[in-house]
Amino acid sequence: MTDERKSDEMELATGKASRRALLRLGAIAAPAVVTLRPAWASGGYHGGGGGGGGGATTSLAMCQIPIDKVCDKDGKGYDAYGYDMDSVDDEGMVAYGGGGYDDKGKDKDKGKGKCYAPPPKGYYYGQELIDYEASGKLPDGIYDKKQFDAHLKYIKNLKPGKDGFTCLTSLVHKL
Amino acid sequence: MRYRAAAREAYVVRPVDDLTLVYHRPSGMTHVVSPAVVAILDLLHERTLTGGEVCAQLAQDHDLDGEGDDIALVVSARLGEMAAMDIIDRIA
Repeated sequence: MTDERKSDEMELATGKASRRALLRLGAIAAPAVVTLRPAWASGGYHGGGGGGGGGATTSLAMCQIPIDKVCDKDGKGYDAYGYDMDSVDDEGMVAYGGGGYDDKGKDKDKGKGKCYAPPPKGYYYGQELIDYEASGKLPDGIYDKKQFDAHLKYIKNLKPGKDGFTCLTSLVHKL
Repeated sequence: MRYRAAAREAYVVRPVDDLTLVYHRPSGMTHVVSPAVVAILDLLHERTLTGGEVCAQLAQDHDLDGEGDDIALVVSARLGEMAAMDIIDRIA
């Protein structure tokens, strides 16, 4: 944080406008702080302050897993690194490389990659995935189960180094 | 309501991929926090600010996204949380 400030000040000093980064503040109701309890404290793990656990039950749910366009190559199963850029379309929830049937009655889409738009905000909170696991409820702004399934496949294929991997790991291990 | 954090040296802040760990030396507690909390904490070291002043300072350096909620209310929620967790103090 301090290094970023210094470089901003340096940029201002040389007369260049400093680039403003987007800061996501989160939603009012979504907690942004989890206190880690030492292993020897009573019970398992839940959020709580020095005052003794008052307030919302917090979790690492505020961590974010960014999702870009997600493509299902050839309908055979998702490859997290195999984006078929030829068939991406930002509009709508599903974009096909083709559509309909050719003059021989064959499905033109067969064998083509299908791409799904990212979630409206560009990422999921850990809590949205937890809620889905618990209740089957699709996250806000997602109305197509196939789109969400494609996103889930992408998430499950995350590797170390990809944005969101640490968030996913923390959910799995209930840090 | 105003808020204040201890000196910078009272905290150890460590980013771990897309999360940030904050160890608060006076309480001995470790917290996992969002980027918004890191940005707010950074403003408050040995400075006493109101919620409105925190908003104004954040807005100088960042484009703020409150996910449709009023920015001032979201910042207020974050400050309240941080105070509840004893990361910062409330000053009347």
